Amino acid sequence: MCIDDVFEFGEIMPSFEVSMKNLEKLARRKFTEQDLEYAKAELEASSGDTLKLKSADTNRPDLWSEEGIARVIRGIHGVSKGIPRLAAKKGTKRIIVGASVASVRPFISGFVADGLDVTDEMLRSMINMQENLSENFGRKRSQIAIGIYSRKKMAFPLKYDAVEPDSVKFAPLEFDERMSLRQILQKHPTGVRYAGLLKGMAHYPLLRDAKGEVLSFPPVINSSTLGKVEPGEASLFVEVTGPDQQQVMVAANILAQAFSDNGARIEAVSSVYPHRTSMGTSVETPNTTPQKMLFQFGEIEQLLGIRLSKEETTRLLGKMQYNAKVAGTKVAVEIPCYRGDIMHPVDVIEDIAIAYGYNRIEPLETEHFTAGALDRTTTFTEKLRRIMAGLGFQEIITPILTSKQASEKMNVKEEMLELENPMTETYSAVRTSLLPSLLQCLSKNKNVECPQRIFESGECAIRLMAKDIIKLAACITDSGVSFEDVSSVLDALLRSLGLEYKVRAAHDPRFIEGRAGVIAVGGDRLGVIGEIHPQALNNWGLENPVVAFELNVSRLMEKAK
Amino acid sequence: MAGYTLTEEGKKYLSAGLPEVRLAELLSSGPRSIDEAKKRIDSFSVALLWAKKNGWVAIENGQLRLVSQPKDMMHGKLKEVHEGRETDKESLSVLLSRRLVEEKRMTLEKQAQKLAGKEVTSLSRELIATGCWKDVKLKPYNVEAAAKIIHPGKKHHYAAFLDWVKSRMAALGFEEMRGPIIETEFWNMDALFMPQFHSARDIHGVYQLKNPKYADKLEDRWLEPVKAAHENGVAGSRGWGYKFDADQAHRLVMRSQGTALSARQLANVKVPGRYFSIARCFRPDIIDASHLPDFFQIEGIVVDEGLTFRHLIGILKMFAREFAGTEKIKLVPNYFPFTEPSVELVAYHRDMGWLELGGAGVFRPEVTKPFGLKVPVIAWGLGIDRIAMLSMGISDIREMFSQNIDFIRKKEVVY
Repeated sequence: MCIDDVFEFGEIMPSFEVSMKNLEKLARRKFTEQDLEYAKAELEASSGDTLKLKSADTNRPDLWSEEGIARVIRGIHGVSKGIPRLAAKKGTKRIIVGASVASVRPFISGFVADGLDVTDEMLRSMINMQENLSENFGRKRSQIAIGIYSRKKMAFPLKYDAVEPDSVKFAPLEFDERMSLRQILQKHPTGVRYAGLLKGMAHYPLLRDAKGEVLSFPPVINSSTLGKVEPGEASLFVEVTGPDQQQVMVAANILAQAFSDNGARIEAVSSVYPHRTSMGTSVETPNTTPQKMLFQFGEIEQLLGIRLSKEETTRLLGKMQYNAKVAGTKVAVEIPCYRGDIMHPVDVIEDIAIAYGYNRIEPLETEHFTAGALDRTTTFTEKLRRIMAGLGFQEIITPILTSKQASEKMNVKEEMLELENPMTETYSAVRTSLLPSLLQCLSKNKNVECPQRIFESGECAIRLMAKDIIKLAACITDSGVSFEDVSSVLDALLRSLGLEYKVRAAHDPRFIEGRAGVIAVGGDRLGVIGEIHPQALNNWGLENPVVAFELNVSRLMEKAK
Repeated sequence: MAGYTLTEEGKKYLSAGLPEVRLAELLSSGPRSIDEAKKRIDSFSVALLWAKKNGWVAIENGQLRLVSQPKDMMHGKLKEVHEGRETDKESLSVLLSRRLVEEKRMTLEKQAQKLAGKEVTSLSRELIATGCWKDVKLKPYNVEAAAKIIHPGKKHHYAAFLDWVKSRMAALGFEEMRGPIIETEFWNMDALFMPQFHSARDIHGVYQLKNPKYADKLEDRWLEPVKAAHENGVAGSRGWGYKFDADQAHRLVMRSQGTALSARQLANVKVPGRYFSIARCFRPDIIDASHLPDFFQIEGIVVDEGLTFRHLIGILKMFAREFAGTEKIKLVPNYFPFTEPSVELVAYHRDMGWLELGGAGVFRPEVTKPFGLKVPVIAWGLGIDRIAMLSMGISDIREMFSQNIDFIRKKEVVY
């Protein structure tokens, strides 16, 4: 029950810190909190020069850094327009990819960033970006893992292949001791954390330099020698591995753009595959060739409801870092290489709306009349609830998730509809009855004045069908309360609905033998009624008798037609 | 006797004699048949009852016979009552039980008169019926004293709030959608173009069922186009470009977002149409000490020819007016996997300042096209708990779902 559950989807929103000083430097101007909204970033906290931001867009990893935010601010305020500069020097450096990684972690992309003066702050920011890209975008490194290395220590060409887990030993980060890949997964905290990604594999990926020195064991950990970056570094090598070549390239492009924005000179590195990939055999990183998209000019007005001139459209697209041309009835855009999220023209049109300003768009009322209505289950249940309240019962709301233990406290062994991945035993199954919930509620209210007359209605599961239906249950507790106290309530409820019913004596371990019955309406068993078994009362720690009934509202509704 | 008077029957017996005495007198001349006695004595059954009871008469072979001489006490007693003289209590009670004598109307008055000029606590039936309340002083109560506490039966305050929201939505022209809490990944995610590798779909984002794990076969007419949209795109989209797993689509989960209902509605939508639902949803990632494992979401769709982002803003403005009582809103760019453009609604509340009130967007073509829809669909969701807190003056979310009966009983009724 989160206050922020406003149309959200259980995603972890990436958060990151930016330095205001750096942001202003990168944006080449001052900025306001509203500027952040254009970059879909929310200010979570600030202290001194540091702003803690949360990105609202889980599909825009290019926005999860101060470089990314600064790009948007530059565009919005016209400091720069169109696709930002990313000049990558063609190089001769290569990564030789072995055939053995094809079934393990097939793709790698890397580049060199020169002319840096790596400060503590930059190091922190780099690690932050690396974390967000690999944990969020890369789904806990399964899709994306990133390594950053000191360029000067290594010799090209690099070799990326897969080896047997015990065949190579090296000292991972934070450890002096040389360990085999298998040992790393068993002993190193980072190894233990990501061991699952390599589960069941006979060979593990390994990145080495021309001299055979280990750079890293992707996607797990860097070596403590070549894989360690320290302040003062002027030249870095950055690589990305993963199972999806497109995503690997987008992540590498995002990193290259960020380094470039910071003034680094980027030198491309080629990944040479033993076979042809969708991008070729020798694939250069970064890939700065923009993706192109063509759509009808009219689609903009059709989606947004605002009429823009062609010039305005081009200008707005430029603000959002597209290179755009509107010619005739068509819009042609070039998409910057760090954007992996554009799938359809609607993605580009949203950017037009953002650049135009959502708050400048005039609202419009919908024209057509529609008749509102409540669902019959809602109105029928509401009627029952109203009658129950009239009979002096207090409605309660309890969680739908419960546990086998709670159900068994009712003195009955029952198969439950269990969850595969419960977070806690207390909420590990879907309730099949409301009676345990009611008794649990009573057990929490032992010091509250009696009589207590409570009821609840809501979803319950039918285990075998893996379906849910609506039930309603009520109970009374007080010293000396007995069967007729609750049968009179059931009678009043069903008579109010104009339903004929019979209570037939039945055996039900939840109730006292001889004081339990099924409620039959039109020949169908639609509920139970009785005096709760003292064993169940003991189990719940209750000291007064409890009488209760439960009805299948979904079926009752059919009868009441 | 004062306070008593003869009934009509009593008066008759006073003049004609009591029937049992007359029967005894008849038999004093010798036994008679029952039939004959019936003819000669009116009120025969009363006569026989009392004559037998007094031991004066016996029945032998259908003949009535006098067995002892009657001692007529009762006639004298009737006379005493009639003349207003004292009579003994025992006889009086017999006369009263035989309904030969009754209490005088005046008695009530007399009783009431006894109270005249006095101060009384209870406003009795006698005082009201006789009008004697005019002659008494009704004792004043301490009306300012604390009242005795009783508890009305009522709806839970949050449930009552939800009832109110539902009725508002219906009044605004929205039709309610309902659907299962035990859902398939297909309706919960796939149909909303959330890729099968999306983080909200892993074990931290959605509860999966243990047994059974999979639902019955989904309809191919929906499954196939959705699969195609994911794999290679639809309507000008390039799609997610991965291999769609039909088994995963059948995986049973606990509904993790109310939008699942909107997805189901797409398969069965009217144009124009406005829909809403208040859905109970479940997510593993939100359990902690102050959170329930399930929560409510309100959301819905608007479907019509020619709908645009401007209409969406119009709808959001209406919600801000209806549920936060404000015209002052701000629209902030946002991201949802199934809408583009996407927007967050921030509304200004006079006491609480700027508040995130909801999210909305235009459904992506990859969401609507697989269901054969050719018209735009606006999707929206509101922060139901925030609205509840605003309208009920609750500041702690935990109060909303309290199971403390004492607290719930005392909670004021807002809706």
